[in-house]
Amino acid sequence: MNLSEDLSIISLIMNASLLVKLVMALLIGISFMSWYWIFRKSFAIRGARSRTDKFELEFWSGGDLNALFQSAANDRHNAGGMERIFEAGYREFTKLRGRQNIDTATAVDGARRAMRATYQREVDELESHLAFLASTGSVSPYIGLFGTVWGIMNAFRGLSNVGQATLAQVAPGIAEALVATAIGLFAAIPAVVAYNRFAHDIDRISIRWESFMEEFSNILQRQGPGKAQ
Amino acid sequence: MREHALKRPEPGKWQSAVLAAGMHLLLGLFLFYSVRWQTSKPAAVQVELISSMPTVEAPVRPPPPPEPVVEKRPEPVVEPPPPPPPPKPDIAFKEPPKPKPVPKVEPKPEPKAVEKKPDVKPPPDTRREIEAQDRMFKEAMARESAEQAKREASREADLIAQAAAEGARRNAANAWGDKISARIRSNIVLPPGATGNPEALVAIALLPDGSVVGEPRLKRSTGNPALDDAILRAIVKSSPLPKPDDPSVFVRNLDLVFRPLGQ
Repeated sequence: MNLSEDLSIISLIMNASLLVKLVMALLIGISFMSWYWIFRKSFAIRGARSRTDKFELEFWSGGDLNALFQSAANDRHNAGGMERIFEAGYREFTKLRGRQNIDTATAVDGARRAMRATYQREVDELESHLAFLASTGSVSPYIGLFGTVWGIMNAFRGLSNVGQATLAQVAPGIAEALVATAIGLFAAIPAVVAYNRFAHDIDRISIRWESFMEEFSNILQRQGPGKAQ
Repeated sequence: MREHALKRPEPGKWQSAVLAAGMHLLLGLFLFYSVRWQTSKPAAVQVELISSMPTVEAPVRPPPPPEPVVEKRPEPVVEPPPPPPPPKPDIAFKEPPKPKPVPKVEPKPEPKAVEKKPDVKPPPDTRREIEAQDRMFKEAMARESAEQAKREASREADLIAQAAAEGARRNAANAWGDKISARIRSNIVLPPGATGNPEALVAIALLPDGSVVGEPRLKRSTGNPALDDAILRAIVKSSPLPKPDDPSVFVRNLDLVFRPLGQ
């Protein structure tokens, strides 16, 4: 433990005990996964929002519902959540309307249920893996802390064998151990920020979808009797 | 009919993986280059040692040679008397003779009185009287010389104590001078071409906290104007100068003999 001992980050990690190393590896894995999901979710949410904007514009520009339905059904893979909801509701409505003994109110109810189901599936899709970010944010500081506590325990246990205790004998051990907490915090902070951000964004998108469902039900209701065949 | 909802294209799978990897690479590089906590410390420790070393040496050096005394004279006016004390044992023995003449002068009047008496009273037992007076005179002389010896002894002791105090003082003063010289030397930027062991006498006015008041004055040049300027600049830059270990040594107007190239 001389003065000129190299305390670069690599030597710190290499000198740590096995358990601390495992904790660090786990945390780096968690951190990687959380960043992966942060990027993927942010792409997905951004895409959902821009498709919702685009479809809302098309829908309220007063085009023919049938034409809209056709384009939505043909281009499923590129369709956004709102388009899918529209497609499911309209499909169900036309199907039910074709039946003989079903009045408009029942058909609209059926369309609503179909839209509700699609809506829930879409929101679930958007929200998937957010729980991972949440638990990363809450748990990884504890994992890091565990590694740190373990490392410091080892550093002090080494001290008990020495007659004269100096700071230089524990300092490297503590520095090593603290690296674990640092990695844990590095994983946790972006995860928490991203989780809050994404939860807020998804809430806003799902509110837009829900209000669209209500408005579209009204449109179907209005249109029902006239087009009844 | 609803399978499409499950089989949708996953946006940016690879992109996200690459971005996440890049993120960690950045963090790793940042940690690698920013977390280097060692190396520069030893250098700092060395600097500390150099600046404090002269003060440690200083007290050891001064006792044997009385020459450095001449070199650093914090109190040029007060100290002239001290120089004699170092060889004080000799002086102490030589001094007794000096006081003796004084007692010898005293007895003289008596003999005169004796001479006068015969003039006034030549009568009978002149011899006895003379003998008695002689005896008295001798006794007085003996008493006188005993007192003299006592006085000398005590004065000698005083002188020794004084000399010891003076020596300690001078050591402290020298240590202080060395300390100041070391500090100034650490701040001096030597002009090129300065060689030999030039010596400058600089008058510095000090505040009790050691800071330099005004500009130091050059009393005796080194002969090299560039070096003189460098010394004066270094003194100003060294303010506050170190305080003496013994506060009694402190003087407000310090005449410092400084050897910029010497040790």
